[in-house]
Amino acid sequence: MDMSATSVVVGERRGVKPKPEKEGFVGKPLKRVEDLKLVRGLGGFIGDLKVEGMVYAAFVRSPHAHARIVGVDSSDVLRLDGVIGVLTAKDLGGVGNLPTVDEDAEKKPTPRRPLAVDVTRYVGEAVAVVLAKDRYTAEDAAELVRVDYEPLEAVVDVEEALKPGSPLVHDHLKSNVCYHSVNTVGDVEDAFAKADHVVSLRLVNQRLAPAPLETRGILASYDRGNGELKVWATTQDPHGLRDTLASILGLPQSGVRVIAPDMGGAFGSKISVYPEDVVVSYAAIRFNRPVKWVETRRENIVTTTHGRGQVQYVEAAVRADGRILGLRVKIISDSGAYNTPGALDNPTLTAQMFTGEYDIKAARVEVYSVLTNKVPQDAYRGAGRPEAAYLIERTMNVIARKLGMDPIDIRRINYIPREAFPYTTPGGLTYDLADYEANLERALEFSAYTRLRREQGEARRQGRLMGIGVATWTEICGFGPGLPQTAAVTVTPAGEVMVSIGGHPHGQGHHTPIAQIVADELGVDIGRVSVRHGDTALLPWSSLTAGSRSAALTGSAALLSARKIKRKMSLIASKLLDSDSSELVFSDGFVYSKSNPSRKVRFEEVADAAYKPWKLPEGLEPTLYEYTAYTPPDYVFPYGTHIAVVEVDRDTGEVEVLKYFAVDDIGRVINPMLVEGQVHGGIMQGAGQALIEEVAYDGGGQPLTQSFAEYLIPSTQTLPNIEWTRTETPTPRNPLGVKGVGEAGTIAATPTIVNAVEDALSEYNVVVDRMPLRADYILSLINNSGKRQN
Amino acid sequence: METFILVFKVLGFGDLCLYPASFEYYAPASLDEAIDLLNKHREEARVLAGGHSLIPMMKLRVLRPAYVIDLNRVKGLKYIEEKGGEIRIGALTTYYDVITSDIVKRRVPILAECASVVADPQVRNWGTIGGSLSHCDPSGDMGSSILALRAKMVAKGSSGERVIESDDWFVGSFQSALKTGEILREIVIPTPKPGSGGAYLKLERKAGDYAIAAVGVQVTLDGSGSCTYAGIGLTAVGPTNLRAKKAEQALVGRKVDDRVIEEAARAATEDCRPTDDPLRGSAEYKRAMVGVLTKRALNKALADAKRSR
Amino acid sequence: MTALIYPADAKVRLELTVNGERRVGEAEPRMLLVHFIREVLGLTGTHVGCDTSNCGACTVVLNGRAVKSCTVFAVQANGGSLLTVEGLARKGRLHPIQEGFWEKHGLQCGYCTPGMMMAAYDLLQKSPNPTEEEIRRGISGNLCRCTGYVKIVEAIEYAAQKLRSDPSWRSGGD
Repeated sequence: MDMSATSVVVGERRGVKPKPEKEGFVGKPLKRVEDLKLVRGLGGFIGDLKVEGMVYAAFVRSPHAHARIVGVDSSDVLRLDGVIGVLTAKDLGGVGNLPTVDEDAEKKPTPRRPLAVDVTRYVGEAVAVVLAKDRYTAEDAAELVRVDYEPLEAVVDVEEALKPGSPLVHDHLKSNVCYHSVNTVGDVEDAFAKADHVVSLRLVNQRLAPAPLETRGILASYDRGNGELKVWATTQDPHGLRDTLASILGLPQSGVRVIAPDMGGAFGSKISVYPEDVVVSYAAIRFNRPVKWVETRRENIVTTTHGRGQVQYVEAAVRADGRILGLRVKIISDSGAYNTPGALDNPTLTAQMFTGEYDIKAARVEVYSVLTNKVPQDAYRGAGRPEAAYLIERTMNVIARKLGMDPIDIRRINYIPREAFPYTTPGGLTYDLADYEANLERALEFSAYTRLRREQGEARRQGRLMGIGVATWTEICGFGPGLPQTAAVTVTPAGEVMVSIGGHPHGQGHHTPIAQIVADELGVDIGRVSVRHGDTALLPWSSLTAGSRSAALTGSAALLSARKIKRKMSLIASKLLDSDSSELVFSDGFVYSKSNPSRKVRFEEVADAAYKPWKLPEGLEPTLYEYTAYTPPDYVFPYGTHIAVVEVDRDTGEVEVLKYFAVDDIGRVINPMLVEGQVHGGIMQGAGQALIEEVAYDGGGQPLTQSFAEYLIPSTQTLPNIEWTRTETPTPRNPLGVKGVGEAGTIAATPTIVNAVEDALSEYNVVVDRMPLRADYILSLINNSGKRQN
Repeated sequence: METFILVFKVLGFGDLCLYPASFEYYAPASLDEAIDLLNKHREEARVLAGGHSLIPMMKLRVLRPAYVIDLNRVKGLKYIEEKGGEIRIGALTTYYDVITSDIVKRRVPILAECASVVADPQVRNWGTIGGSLSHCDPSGDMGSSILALRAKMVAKGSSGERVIESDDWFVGSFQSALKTGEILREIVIPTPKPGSGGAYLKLERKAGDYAIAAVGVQVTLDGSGSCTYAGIGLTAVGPTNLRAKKAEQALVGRKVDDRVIEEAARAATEDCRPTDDPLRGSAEYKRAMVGVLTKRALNKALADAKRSR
Repeated sequence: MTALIYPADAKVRLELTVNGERRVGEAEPRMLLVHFIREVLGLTGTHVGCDTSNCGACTVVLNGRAVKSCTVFAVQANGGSLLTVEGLARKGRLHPIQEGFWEKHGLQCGYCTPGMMMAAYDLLQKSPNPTEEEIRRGISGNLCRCTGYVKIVEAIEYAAQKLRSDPSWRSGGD
């Protein structure tokens, strides 16, 4: 095997087509059907949409992180030519609050108005909206709204916010703690009493901006005659937005239709319902004009929810041989200014997944979610699991260094063994099935790990700071037993197969793999199958696209719907062919008799018959439409091994990633080309967190990162080519055997790269305790290590 | 201090607008006409060249000129020529023109190296040398090369032209030596003697970003290996692009060996005046980086100089 | 010759060649080229991603050179020649760059794709046989949040190879 990074052949990347498992479309790297539109510039994104009579909104936003609103004067606005109207909080009397958590012993709700009323709690919080004939005029008008503020003391740092006496983000709560829980499993005290070493760490997951290339946007139009509010919105959850808007605006759910057009990425940031969604929808009704608003990038980075934002304290009780006996973990999550349901998912998922791939019997995890004067947090690619993987994979690395072990060996000693599955974790989850050892072995071979270590030795002899980092990750996905996903299949009289799926893809490419699944099931050419989504009128109900769940859930729902169609078509075909329906085979666009293949009928003839009652078997209902709400029995847990090679410039502190290898086990694969794309993109975002991304605020809560000039996202120069392959352990928890891949790379890459940099710095014996790994920070680690040479 | 943070401080943070305010647009056909318009509207007017410094500030509404004077229809401002021991560059010459110019590659490769690390290909296609120098962003890359080369700026106003030494050009952050009513017409660079070499090294958070710190070095060695000329310009470590005079003095008249290079690099750290920056590092870090970059740039420039002797 | 003067709030009639066709439209002087292309010309393939000329989603080719159209006023393009993503394909045939992106999975959400392809177009005009490193530098002003760039690089390699082997694409696109 040639060991140079670029020559490793990965799947079809170098044009080597892997053999499909069987004849059919599933397993093949088919090109995406939606690309033909997108490469010609014919996509229909929210910014592209126009409705007759449409006006444009611009928001007036708080320049203060925390302030009392003394007065709002919008009297000058209407004098400006082209202005249609202006709304402030007092105009929204009948409009409900935005979603927060339900109160219980652990959770404290925080009421949130669509436009701030008395107090603003983060820079960028919306205070008023103006509507005008075009966006330029709307921006001119927004400048004319005068808001008087009385600044209040802001609390920005999450650990400061936790201290008694800190300024309160919400006065009605006695503290800034909006969630607190403790979970203890096993005998933690005994584990620490028996430990040969206790390793303590403070880790910080910095705030990140999801920053999809397309910002958020909404276009709302109200049909007074029918009493229907029609909303085009960038949302990962069309039905969720429908139901929330109906509730907040006091409309019947039947009176709201949400359409999610083509979307330019989301990464979790387009799940929750935002103030602008409510205000623009309300304005459309109030002014009886279609209203459109598309976020500027500054608005996106400053006011769209952030992710990660978590401080972690870890104590590990370790035996001399490297076995971890117990963990004590404290998680402090920065909720931002409001306790949104999404903000809370992050730390609670971390608290479920913090033991990773390891067999740890005793653990105590305490979670605080804390309010600060910053924009609320919510899901960002991985939502809580990247933080969990970071916590445990960084801890493993530090333990290995402390014990002088190879990072591979420390992991091997602690893995949950293959025979232990299904395995129940301290976080209360039951892992499905895994073979961590086998995956690790594959990764060592794929990356030529021993050779990498030899190269590292050579580099060190030359005085170069080369490092190798490893992370072996797992995550929870396929959400979940409490959250079904839906799909429907229609076969038209002409034999065209139309699939409607729930949720809303925004780059993942659902069309093609869903069509692959359905085409295989019905034995038709994939060109006959079309996939639709993103309109609440398409399906009775659906849930969101998030959490690497679509292949497992949407795919299964589509498969099961296709099976129902097939069952019904078999009955019809059995009459047409005069054979037993149980022995019919669907293949190549025909329905055959297995025992006598010359007895066959075209798929479209069966379809046509389905619409002609006189051709149907007795008692069979005409038409071909089948719907499935698929609920999985439990979650699925993909896993993998990532290895990075880095070099640190000892004079400047700059980090360069030289090589990146990944071997993931995501179960069965429907379309390997798309899967590889998901892995690449995920790894790049994980690398972004490790290397360059950080939402920064000053001490008063003013955001210092407001555009892509300050908030850096990865470019072509951030990582080299990514080398990827996989092992395959199908999950028993869904009919396709698929797990999930959307978040895999992101979860793995961050600790992998940080571990590599820490390894590069091993001669200085430092612990890397913050991100991103800015050059100045790395150099300060070297300089403060006391081992600086020269 | 980098552009956008400064902008936010001027603007305040709450308004997240990215749409420019109204203005009247002029596209003069000659430089004289442009100067007349500029004299008529004075502080209310702004000159538009490539637009890549001006337009972002107008979108943020940090600048809201009532009049914009677009030079792009003025002929004869886009050229690179060498004559009589001087290289003359028209103000509307783009970074891309500089990078691909044979004259630049042959005579002042530092300029091509510098232009090629400004932002990204699209910006380099349109951004102009004159626009960048007139903008006087302390994080601008071109200014340091201009200082290293000791170029002269030819400014034209209603009363004619005047020549401004690069040492006098950088008056303050976003403030050049141009007087109201003047337009930068041309940059004149003394052609370096044989035995010259140059380098521009930039430390950045990410390719295409504004510099954390950057150093431009131009040196000339005589037949005996003594340094007869040293020009060093510093980026993003002071209120303007700075000339590292102590570092230059440490080189001139001496045979440059490793010890002298170390000495010059140390002097450069004294020449710079960096400030703390929440995104790009502390003043202390930037100062140290000026030393590292100066040393590396000197090694590179000296190697080139030796080759071309 | 005297100066062209366009008053502040009045709309100016602009005439330019867009994807080989003469087009006329009106814009206030402050209107950015990207908004003119999208709102006035109705060519919505050119996207706005960052507003600060960092992301390149709005890249078009103006007078033969790629530019971020969020950082040019529409009036500046008056009389000029513009190539947008909609003008890449010819006679129903995808341009090799478009084909490369499709073949090599060079796009996911597709939002950065038009600008990315126009930057690739500019690169391949200047450098028809680029190395991987040249491709990476050539599109370094274009941000993609989805792909990790590996497959974008492959897409452009594919296009470069195809353009070299098929002379019918060689004479510029606009």
